[in-house]
Amino acid sequence: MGGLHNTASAQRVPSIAENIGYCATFSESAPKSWGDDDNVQVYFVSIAKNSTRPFYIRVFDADVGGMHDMAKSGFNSTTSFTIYGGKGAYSNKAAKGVDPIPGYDAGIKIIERKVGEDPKLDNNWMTIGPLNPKEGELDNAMGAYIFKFIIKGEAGDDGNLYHFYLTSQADENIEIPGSNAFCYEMSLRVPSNSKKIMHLYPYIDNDVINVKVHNFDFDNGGNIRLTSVVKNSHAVKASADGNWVTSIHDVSDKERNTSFDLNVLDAASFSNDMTIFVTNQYDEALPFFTKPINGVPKFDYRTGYEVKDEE
Amino acid sequence: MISARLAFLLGLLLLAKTSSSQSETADCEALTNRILGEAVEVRNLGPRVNSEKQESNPQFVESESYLTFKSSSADDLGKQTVSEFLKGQFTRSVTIEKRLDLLNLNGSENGLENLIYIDPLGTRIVLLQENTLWVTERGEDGFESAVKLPQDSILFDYADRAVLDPTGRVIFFSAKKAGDAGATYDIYRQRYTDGQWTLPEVLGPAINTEFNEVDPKLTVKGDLTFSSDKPGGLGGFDIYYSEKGDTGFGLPLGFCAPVNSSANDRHFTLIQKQRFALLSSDREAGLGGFDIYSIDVYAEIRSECVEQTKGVTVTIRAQVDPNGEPLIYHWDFGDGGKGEGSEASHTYRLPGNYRVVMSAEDVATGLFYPEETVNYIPINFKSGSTVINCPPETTLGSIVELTSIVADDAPVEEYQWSLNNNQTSNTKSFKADFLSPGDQVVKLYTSSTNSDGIKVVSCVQKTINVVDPLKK
Repeated sequence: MGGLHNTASAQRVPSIAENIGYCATFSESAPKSWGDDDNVQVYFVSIAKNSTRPFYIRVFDADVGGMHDMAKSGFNSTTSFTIYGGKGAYSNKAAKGVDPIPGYDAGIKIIERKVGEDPKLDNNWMTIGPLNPKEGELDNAMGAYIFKFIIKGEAGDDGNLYHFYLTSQADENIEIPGSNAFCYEMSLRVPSNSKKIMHLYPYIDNDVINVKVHNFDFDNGGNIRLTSVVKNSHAVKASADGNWVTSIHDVSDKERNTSFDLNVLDAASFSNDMTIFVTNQYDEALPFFTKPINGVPKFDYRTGYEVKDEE
Repeated sequence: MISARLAFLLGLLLLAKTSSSQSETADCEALTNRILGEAVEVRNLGPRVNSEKQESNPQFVESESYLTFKSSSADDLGKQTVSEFLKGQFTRSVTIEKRLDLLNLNGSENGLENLIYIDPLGTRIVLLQENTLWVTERGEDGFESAVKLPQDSILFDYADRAVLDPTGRVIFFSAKKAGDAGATYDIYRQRYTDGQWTLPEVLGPAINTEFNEVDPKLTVKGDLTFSSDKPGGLGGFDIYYSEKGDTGFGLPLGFCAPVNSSANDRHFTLIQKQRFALLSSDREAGLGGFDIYSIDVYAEIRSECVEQTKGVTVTIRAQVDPNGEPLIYHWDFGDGGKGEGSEASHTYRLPGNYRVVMSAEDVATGLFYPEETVNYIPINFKSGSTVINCPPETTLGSIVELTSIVADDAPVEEYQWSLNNNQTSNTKSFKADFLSPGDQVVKLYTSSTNSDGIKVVSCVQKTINVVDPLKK
């Protein structure tokens, strides 16, 4: 548990701004109604291409058991944590989808850790690495080497709840300058605190005309709102227990090359897990960045005031 | 019949003369009241300054608070003398050579006997030497070499006083044509333009007459004072005041007694910042010859006490997204005030720069989006206006701090609090006891000096409701 004093400045995934406590990845035999549609969570990690220092991924509560996790009937599950680099890790189209179709795990497998119930990792850190930045796949558009981090629920019927940090130290969470993380679909734990707003920041590039927001198994537990520089709290359809819903939202010129802010508001008094992703007009998934591109969008209220003469 | 007609005509003549005299009296009283105030008293500065010699041409250097004047007797040419003004009194005068340190005139002693003008900041001097005027001003290393003012073909005999305007580029002096037994002193002006002084030009007939006009001096406002022995005064030289207008100096008016007297009254100097005036006079009851006298200036502009303004009202609005979910807009106006709605109004009671925060509440979920936007709103009250900062209500027996806030941080020279329970204070803030129930009126008088050098007294009042908790 070293280095907690530095965690605030390190790159947490999901990020502090997203206000999401845990990713949720369930094993193969867990009920789909628990909220994970495909038992796979794919994250991409970008490291600035001029970075030469090794880095690490530190997973908090990587095991399936003990605290935080969900047992169906006693813990019996395994989760794999696998890092891919090299060609195809990011550029393969299947990797950027929302379903684990063939090719989603393209690239060179660099390291894999499989974890079951493990008291040493329960409510504690598991360090993966060191990783050489040059082992990622270079994406010139992003100016970064991209690694793919697949968290897969293997055999079993339990749910694994975890989050992780990108760090320059093996035993401490120290921010890597210029790093970011993103995913195209997110299975997450919705907190039971009804006053907590979670945020997801899909990036709207210059080609997006409209977006479809898809969500699964929200249990009618609350509301989802969409905010951007010109949208103020637009309602997004929220799913019921074990089903998918989709809502379409047009994109205006001012919203391109900005991020949207999907606010997930849970009114339930119990914990819930759900899956959410966003696609464009071509049904291509849009990335959620933990550090929103061009900042957290704020609706432009254009507040103005007039001063009257003294009374 | 003829005698009756003559009597009628004489009556008309007498009536006209009386009417003219009454008019002049009214004019001089109005002038005296306006410039110096009512109840003017002329006081001899006494033996610390005056003697049996001639004390004349007082100049007051406001920045250093000292008086310099000429003291002479029949058997000497006169000594330039100084007296400090400390705690409202003038110290014993000494010759200027002994106080060069005080005057910051070290190295400039040469010719100080010939000083006829020093400006209120002590930075510019006019010398009268060998019947020629010289002007010098202070540089980084003391006073610079004096510049000789050009004269035209007519030689002058100069009187013993001149004055520079605040820019130092216009000089007024009094002179008469040399060698002309019938000549009288007039007031002249020279300007510094294009790097040189112009030739003297005589002021017009509004100022100069066939009699003597001497001792020109300028007020802060730029008005001209001088002395003249023209008829119509109280006797000898009298002091006159001429307002500066758009086209020049206006018709001069003489001061009433006791500023003017039946003797010679000269060298009037209005020291507006310190609120007194000086003159020299050979009037009776002096110490001998000309003495220097002071006059406390009471003139002020005093306005009626007005109820404090309720404040400045601000209406603020936020853009609403018509396609968005219903939101309630909450405003925190930064002074404790709250508002609601996409448009909200609020009245600020005090000037300041307020941080206004808007947050939006989702009607369906009741969740807040905190600090969605922040604005800083500067609230300015009418420039220079004063506000009493205190609660509108208090409890019987409590002590309330009354604080004054002046818009734009305008300079206030004096504060005077007055409550209708006879409590007073002259501090900026004031802790007052409220021992009687009901409405208590708090008045705050603030004084400052306007650009004309006149004291301006403003008053604002606020009513505090003192509640008796036992009767509530």
